[in-house]
Amino acid sequence: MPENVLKVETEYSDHIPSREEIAAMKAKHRVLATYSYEPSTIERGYNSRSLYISVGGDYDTSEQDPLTSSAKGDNGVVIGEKAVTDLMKDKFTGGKGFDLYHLWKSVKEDTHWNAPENNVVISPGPLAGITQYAGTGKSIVCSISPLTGLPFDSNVGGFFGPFLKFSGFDALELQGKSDEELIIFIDGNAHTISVETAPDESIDSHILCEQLTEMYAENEADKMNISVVASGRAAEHSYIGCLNFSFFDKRRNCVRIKQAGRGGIGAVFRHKKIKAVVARYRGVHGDSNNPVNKKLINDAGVRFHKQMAQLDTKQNNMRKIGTANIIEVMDRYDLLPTHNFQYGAHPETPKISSKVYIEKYVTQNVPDGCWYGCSMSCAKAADNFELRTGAYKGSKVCVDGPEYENAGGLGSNVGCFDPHWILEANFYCDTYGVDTISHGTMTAFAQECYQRGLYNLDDTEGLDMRWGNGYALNELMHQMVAGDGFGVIVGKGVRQQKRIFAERFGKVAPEYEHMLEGQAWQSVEEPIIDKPIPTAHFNKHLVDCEALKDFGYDDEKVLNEIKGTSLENAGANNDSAFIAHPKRWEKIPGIPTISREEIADWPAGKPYYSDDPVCPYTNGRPWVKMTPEQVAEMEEFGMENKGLEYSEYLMKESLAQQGGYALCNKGPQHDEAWLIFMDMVNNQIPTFEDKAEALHYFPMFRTWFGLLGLCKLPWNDVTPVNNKNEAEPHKFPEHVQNYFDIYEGVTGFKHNEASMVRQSERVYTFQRVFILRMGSGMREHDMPPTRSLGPISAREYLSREERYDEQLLEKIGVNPADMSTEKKIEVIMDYRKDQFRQLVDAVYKRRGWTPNGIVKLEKLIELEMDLPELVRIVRPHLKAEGYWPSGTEFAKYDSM
Amino acid sequence: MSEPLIQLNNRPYPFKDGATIASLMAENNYDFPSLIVKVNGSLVDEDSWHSTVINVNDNVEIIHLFGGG
Ligand code: SF4
Repeated sequence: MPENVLKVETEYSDHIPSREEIAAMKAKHRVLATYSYEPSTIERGYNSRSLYISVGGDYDTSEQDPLTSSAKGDNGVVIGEKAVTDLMKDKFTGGKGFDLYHLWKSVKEDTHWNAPENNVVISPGPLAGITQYAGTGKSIVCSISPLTGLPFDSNVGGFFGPFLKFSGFDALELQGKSDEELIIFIDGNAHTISVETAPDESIDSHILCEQLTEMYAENEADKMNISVVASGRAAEHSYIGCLNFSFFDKRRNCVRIKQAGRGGIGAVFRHKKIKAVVARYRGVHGDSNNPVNKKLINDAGVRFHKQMAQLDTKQNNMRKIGTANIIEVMDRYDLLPTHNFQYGAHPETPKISSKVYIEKYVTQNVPDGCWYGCSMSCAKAADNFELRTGAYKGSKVCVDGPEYENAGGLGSNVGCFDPHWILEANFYCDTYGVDTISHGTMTAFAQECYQRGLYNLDDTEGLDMRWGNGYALNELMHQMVAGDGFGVIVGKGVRQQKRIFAERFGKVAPEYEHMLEGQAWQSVEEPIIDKPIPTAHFNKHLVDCEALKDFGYDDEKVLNEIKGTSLENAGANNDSAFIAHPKRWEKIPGIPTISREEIADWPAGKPYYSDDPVCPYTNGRPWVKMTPEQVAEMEEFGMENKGLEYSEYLMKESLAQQGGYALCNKGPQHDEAWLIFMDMVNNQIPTFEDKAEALHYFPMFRTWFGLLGLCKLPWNDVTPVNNKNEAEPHKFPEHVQNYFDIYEGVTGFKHNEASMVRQSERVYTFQRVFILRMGSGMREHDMPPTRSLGPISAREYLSREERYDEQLLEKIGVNPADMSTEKKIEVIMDYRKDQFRQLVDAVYKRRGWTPNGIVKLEKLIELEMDLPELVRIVRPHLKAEGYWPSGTEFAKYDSM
Repeated sequence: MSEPLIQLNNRPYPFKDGATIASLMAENNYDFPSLIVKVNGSLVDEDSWHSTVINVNDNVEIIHLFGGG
């Protein structure tokens, strides 16, 4: 160990279970199925087989590849193997490609996320598991997302992917639905797999991963060889469940977790009643991946490690603070989303800058790689972090973070500028299995609705949803865990919030007021957006009055009021405080109960009762539909596309990034393209064609990482000295060449840019056809919320008036001098909407799609992806749009 | 007579007498750690940012190298 590397003194004993506790838990396991398999040798990055597990349930598997061998157990559990064919390697490569391949064969056009046939597929990719280069331990997870209803991919570090591969499998499929809580154990050294009931283990990841690491490690040293995939309790009641992938950190003597955060795959996992998948593999070494030419890999590794040693402290400080290094950078360039993406900067950002985290929270001088050999080591952690709220209040924990996205989502975007609160929320999101990004964006949406007066305290059962109310935000998460209260609505994501709010949180129209028989149940409030919080409404779940002071509530009067309320309402528990707000409604005669289907035609403003179980409030409360104007208002600032919440970068001033988000196959996540500097600051892609080219190259290049098992960060979070001399420095050609060398080193195949793009484009195009198959994937689905294109309110316009006035004058050619703010917004937004339309046209053309976003047959042929399954999906759309090609060479596709 | 200009990242930008690359960066809050600077197509090393004076009609490119998370 280098001299300046610390062993961290930690105090985590309160959540490390004793041997006796572990033994008692294990004794309760009932083995449902076991399976033994032959060891395999990895060749050119592949085991050439994948692992299939059904956890039970009845569903059609006739379209899936056959099991080459299998074992059936109790409760319908099946464990088996499938061949990884040459076709799969050739057209789908691995990682995300293999995931989507298996998912396609598992689901039907109408498969819902919670159907048993939905599949959680995990694949590490052919390069995963190298230890000589940085960022080579990633896995990709795919499933049909509860948020989008579409195939979704999410990448993650931790040791599971490489362990799965070295255990003998290129992918793992998890299908079916169990009635009992299960754990799946893959012993890569004994070559056995078991599926066991696990009634007593925790569900929350930080506890569960510790328990299972203790349970399945043969001794202390063996803990390094255990990796657990788990989620958390909030994933059971929300659509934003994440998956945690663990690794044992021996310097901290604790288990760490990395997240496959986006898309709600943790909710699918928990719906199947899988508590965890555990892999054990002992014996990782530099040749585990059995490379064809190790020297190529070693040389690339040495070059990269030298750059990190020499340049990181002068550049991005990844080894000190990880991705959080850009919090203040984003603020300075007006890109840090603030108050639900209204603004890009905030005067209080210095309170949550990377400097604050480095000085006060994040443990330094520890090499924090999430897989062996990662010299970028950005997986930082705050040790001995004492929790102030919630179920684990008082525990000292290791918080994985902060990552930039968490500071944006749990901080600035919800108006919270308290670094402790951000870390606390970060911890709870992880252990409860919640995606921090979606949680931030959907909470910000709920906050803005509240502050615009679209709903009120009655609707939230007393939660004050103003910007920055950290306790209210914490409470939402605790409600998701409990499956109770307003948090359950929020946890369904922005798209479902819009629907539920629209159906339930309208105001009673004057002509229907008589139906309430004098029960004045709506306190109509003024819009209060952007006003400071004068006091706080608190609620059911464990608020500590002392801790309030740390969150800025040091007004004695407020504290006493809260404390008093606490004693009055919390009974014996005088350590917690809340204002018990909810009214319990007497059922009002004369208000009809209507079915789910009838709601669509029900008049706005007219009260009704519903027995729809989607809403957790069943206390006799009548509901009221919003007016069409209110619904349209929410559509403008609900920051989702395809059902996924936007990630945490303000995109308003970059047309290319607006496209990067909205044209992303899975929904607006920046891992396809991040073009804001190239576009907005550098002005390197001024024309529509330039932007379209960037929106072709970068999504393909970044898809490639997901096919192979690579982390994106080492590509461009350190800049080689000679990069400035390159013709296309923004592509970081030296690092791209390193990747080509590694690819050749493992597989023997020599890549160039064209072959790399083609490899990616096959899977990217397949995913586009897949989402079409599932009912999306057309132009209308690529349309963004209006706020992503520019200012939609006077507040937003006036905050950057000079910039927008200048654009009116110079870009649009109108003089803003005599125009009202409303008129200026109308003109600038009309212009921007038109720009977006032109961008979409250019990108579709570049990608070989029709103006409606359908992949052309000629493109499928060019990519050798003219598989009958794909042709059958695009054909009716192409015919309807007039893009089905004529000519004898295409005749065979008519009858496919 | 029209106002003297330079090009900054391919956009017209007011020329200021005596302005250097460093002052131009400060004026625009360009303090990102990974930057490439070119004046009229020629690279300017970081050591020279304070001493390189910008002339009327110069084409200045200050390229931020960042590809997002
Ligand atoms: S750069 Fe960071 S996220 Fe990527 S592999 Fe290394 S430690 Fe993990």
